[in-house]
Amino acid sequence: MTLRMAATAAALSCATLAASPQTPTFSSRLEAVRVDVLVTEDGRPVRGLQPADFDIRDEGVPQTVDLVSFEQIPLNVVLAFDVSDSVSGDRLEHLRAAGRAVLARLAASDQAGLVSFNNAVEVRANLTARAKDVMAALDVVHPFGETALVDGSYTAMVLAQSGGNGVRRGLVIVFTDGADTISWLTPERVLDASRRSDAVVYGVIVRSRSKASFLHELSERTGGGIVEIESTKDLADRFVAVLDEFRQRYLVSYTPRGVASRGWHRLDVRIKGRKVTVKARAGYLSGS
Amino acid sequence: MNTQASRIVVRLLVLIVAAVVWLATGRQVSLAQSTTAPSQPAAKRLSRSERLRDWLEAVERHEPGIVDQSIGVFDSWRPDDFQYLAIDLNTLVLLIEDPGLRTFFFKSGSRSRQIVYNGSDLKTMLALAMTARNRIGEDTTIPPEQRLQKNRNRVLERAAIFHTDVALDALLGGRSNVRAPLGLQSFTLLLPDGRPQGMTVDVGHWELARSILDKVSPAPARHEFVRGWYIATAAYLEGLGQLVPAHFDRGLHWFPDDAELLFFAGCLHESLAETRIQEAMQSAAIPSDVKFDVSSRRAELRAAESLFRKAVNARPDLVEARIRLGRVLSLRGEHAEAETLLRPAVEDARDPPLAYLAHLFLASEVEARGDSGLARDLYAKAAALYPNAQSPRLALSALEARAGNEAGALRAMAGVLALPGDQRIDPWWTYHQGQGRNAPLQLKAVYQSFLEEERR
Repeated sequence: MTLRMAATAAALSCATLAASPQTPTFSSRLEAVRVDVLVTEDGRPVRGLQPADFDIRDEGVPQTVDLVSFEQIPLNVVLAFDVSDSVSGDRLEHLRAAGRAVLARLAASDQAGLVSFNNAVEVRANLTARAKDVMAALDVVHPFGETALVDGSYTAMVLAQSGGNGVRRGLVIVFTDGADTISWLTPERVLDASRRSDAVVYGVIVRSRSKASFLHELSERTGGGIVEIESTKDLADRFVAVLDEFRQRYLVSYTPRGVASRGWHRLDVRIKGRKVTVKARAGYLSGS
Repeated sequence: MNTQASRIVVRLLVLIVAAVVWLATGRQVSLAQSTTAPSQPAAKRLSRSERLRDWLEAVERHEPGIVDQSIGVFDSWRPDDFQYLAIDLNTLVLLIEDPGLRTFFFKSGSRSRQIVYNGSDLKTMLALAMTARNRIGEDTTIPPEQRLQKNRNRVLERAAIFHTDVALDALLGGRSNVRAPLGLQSFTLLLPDGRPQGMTVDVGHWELARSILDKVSPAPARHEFVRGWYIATAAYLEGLGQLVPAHFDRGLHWFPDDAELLFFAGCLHESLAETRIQEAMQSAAIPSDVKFDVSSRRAELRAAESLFRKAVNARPDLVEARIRLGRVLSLRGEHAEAETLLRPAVEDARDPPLAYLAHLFLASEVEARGDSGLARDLYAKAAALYPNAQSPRLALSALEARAGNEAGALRAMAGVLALPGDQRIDPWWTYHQGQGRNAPLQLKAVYQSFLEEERR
């Protein structure tokens, strides 16, 4: 949540504040906090909000929003795919097609990566702007084995935060058709690690008798969402919808004031004077 | 023809990623059969004593540990034939002991009923019993009573081996048994990748083998073959991801203080406590008259702890039991005792997979109580033991991530996660089957010792 890149000159920060909302430049200062916020009204994204429209409370203390961006920040999109034994035949083909559909919609400035998981978690494509490389990696995935959902989701979160210069927004799309059966990392530890991550996790789950409570909780905590499906037939549409929704989120930045510098910070995000639905992460962890 | 020992190695590699629960209940229920009975040849049906004769010949012909032709004896059997086998085998054992016997009772559960044979069947069975009774009749160095016992036990042990090999052949070779008879049904709940994928019903060859060994004299509990058989088959079943509570219940009934059996039974309950099993038991469509013997996670962990404790008390040198007891204690929230157990286990574990797991589990404990430095050190040692294993790398990465070191988090796992999955070896992946890693050798040793005894 907090920007932990090397601190840059204060001058940049000043320049940032002077920039127009249409071409935002986010501060890389250690203190700055970024929050990915989805604002919807009757299920449709609300556009045109300005910094003054946001009411952000950090541990209950009102904060001054410095900057708001809508659709302008380049993305780091990591696809994290369950390629266990059960994802074969049509399901695998649908998954590949869905991955390709997302990759085809990325802008030139965006980056994508691919993580697959069965027993083994494999980073099949590191973050790259060459979507074709990621598509090629998708083609050589062969399903077998069990489901290391927790390990795979964790890896994708770390990867989403890793690449590119400047500020980027991390989106992780996790696809699974079952519950975890083999991870070493525990859900608790990954959920704990997610408190320091800026990446937003969306889970696309084929509905089954198994509970996927971990993915529900991870997406909830990172401010993402869960898409439950009965069949993978329309998987590409679902994936594209996730990407579109993510693009229509606001990236809100503020410099925390009146709160402790370390520890867990509970966040409450609202839009002043409007009855809209706001989705954002529950909080962030700062300090070591 | 391949030996079972060489075949299981291949199968183990396959099954590490496909857990299957086999819970033999042997209950008398009606359920759609998974396979159809082979069509009967036009030739006349054999009488029950003739089937017993064929069975006994197959048992005698069978080469332990080998998938030979004798295993095919059941191919033409009808479901009821297995029911008769259980009854007639009992009669055969009684006749070996006392050829003058003419009234026979068969006990099933709490019920006992008289079995009446026609003259022809009785004559054939008596002849079979006399052959078995006199097999080593010429050896006058052995007292008659002892000779009789030896003859009787030899047949029973051989029969148990035979049914073990039939059961293993079905498991390893994926052969489906013929339609199962009521009362000898073995229900298997299939859970590949944690997903309930239906049940199969097969002949309970394991049950048959157990019930055959119940008949050895003077008592199974005083019989080294029976002990060895239970230990080796427990290892085999667990190594193949087959969870069979009834097998362990029977084994511990005869050998309640055996450290190895206690250990394997502890492993069974540790597996039954796993989330995937617990969730599957909640969600699987199981007929109401079939009951799988799985308790709540808490109860299973408690059972595992108790069994591992007994195993460790009986054999403090059983490092694997100490490591698993440490893990179970951790899962039960007894972290201080878990760490106390795991600390020396890290030093004592010589087997690389065990040393690796001990390091991982101890690291997790010390990490949970906030000692990141020691946890990092222990994870690194585990990673050094298995450089291509992902678990310690992910753990190291998560340590960095929680400390706010994003670059470090990526660095810690990048090397291993870039490797193709088939180039990784991670003993954590086979944790719930790993205790059976020596099963083929163990079973081979049991068979070998039987053959040596038989040749004497």
